[in-house]
Amino acid sequence: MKKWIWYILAVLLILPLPYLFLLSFAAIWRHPDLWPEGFAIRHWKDSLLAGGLAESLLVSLFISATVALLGMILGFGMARLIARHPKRVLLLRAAYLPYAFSSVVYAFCLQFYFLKTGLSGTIPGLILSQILIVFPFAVILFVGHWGTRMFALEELVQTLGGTVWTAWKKVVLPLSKPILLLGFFQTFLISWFDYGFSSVIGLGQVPTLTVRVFQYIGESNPYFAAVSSCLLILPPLILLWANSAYLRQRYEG
Amino acid sequence: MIKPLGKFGSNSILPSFSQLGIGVYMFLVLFPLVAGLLYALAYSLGLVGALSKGFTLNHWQVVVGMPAIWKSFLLSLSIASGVVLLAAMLALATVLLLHPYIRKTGSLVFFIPLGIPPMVAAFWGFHLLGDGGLLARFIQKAFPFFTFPELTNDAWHIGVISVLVLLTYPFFCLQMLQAYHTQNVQGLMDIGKSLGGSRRYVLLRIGLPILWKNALPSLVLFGVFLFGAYEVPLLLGRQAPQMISVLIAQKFKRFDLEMVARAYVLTVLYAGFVLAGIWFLFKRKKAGRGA
Repeated sequence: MKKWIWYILAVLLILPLPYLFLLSFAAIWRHPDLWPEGFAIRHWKDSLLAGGLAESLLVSLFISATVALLGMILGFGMARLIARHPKRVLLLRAAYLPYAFSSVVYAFCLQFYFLKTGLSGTIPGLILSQILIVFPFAVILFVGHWGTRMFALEELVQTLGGTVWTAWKKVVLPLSKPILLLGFFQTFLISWFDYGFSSVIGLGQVPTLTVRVFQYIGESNPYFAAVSSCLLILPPLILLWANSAYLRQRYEG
Repeated sequence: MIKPLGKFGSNSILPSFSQLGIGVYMFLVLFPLVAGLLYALAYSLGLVGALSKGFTLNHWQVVVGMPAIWKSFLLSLSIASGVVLLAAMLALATVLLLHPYIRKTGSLVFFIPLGIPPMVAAFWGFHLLGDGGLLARFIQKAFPFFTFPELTNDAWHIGVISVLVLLTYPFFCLQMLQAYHTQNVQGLMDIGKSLGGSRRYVLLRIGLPILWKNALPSLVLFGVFLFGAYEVPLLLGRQAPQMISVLIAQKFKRFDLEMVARAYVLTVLYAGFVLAGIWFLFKRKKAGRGA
């Protein structure tokens, strides 16, 4: 009995993926039917080429990769500084605040400043706004990594005559590779999933994929919405697979 | 206390380097939030904005006197706490009762929903639970005379709650699975059984309290996140009452500038709720450390 409950649960958790792919490839799927009337790649072709979804995919990939890279670098360096700061606890508590706010409400709070600086409706503006939530998250994620051992290793290299650069190149970065990868993965996802900042700071002029999904739902175009949903789900799945493959390879030899 | 390193050592470079770093940190983390909230407060008090005529409490009086606003806050609080409790209970039951099966098949199945953005989850929820959705089609085929109930944009917010549980439950499962291993819950339950405890007794007195206590900070933090949930209630929620983020966004999007001022009042109130939630979280952590 428990085995079947687990199988049903597993199917329920995975079901959104096959359903969305099925809907995106359905030629037509009318109301009472349990299965589509044939399959076609029409919706993918039309949405990607004529609908501008390919551009949205590239824009979203560029924004999320940039935000993740900047968030990771800034967060990693800042976490090192905070890890040995006398006010460590207080500084870390501050990092929870922007992250805990609803992104759409936070975006409306900042909208005035972005409008005044001319950053609203631009890709750099959207990147900057997303960094404001990704950066504190990265600090929270990385600060635990900067323990006594890491500092001791860094110090050891310098005691043996190495420079700060050598310590980072030969010890810190190789040892931090898994957590950096995890950090990149997580910060990429925060940016990739974002709709609040994209809609308010982007003003609909930065056509990210989440904005597109909402637009297609509003236009009652479930097929295009399904295609853009699939595009939104694919990179996290690839990153998840790559991450688990990397960890397997690392820990199983 | 770890000593500073090498050339950033005890000479004069470290303080300035450190202070500069902390300055950048504050500039990126706290400054935008404080600046945004100050602007919201100033706007709500009539000090700035297109219709600014000097200090006034009018917008605050109007908003505080509107029962719909408090209904929204109450709804957000109920949905957030309901979703967290439901997802946590389900996760506890899953980890404690289905643990052997999860170990066999692997926990990857819990990672997959974590790769679904809230917007897509809401779209999926609409297609699963809507009047013409997948579930309704199956039920209508099996029981042609059965009238499918309203599960999206419904009075009980079943659609919103279901989708938010779908997004939250896998995370709690993963966290509790990790605690199950690191806290050696199975070993402790085995000891309890060998000392004469029944299966039910060890589950309720050993397994459940350990996992619950371990997950509590995350539950509070998720409660704060869910309090401000936007995409899911936007697509699957009702027009009235709305969850607070949806209500704030809707007021901001109106062309009536009076509404914008009210939206800023709501933003300041919402910030108060979030800060209270975070304060509660840290107070609990501090109490936990002190105990």
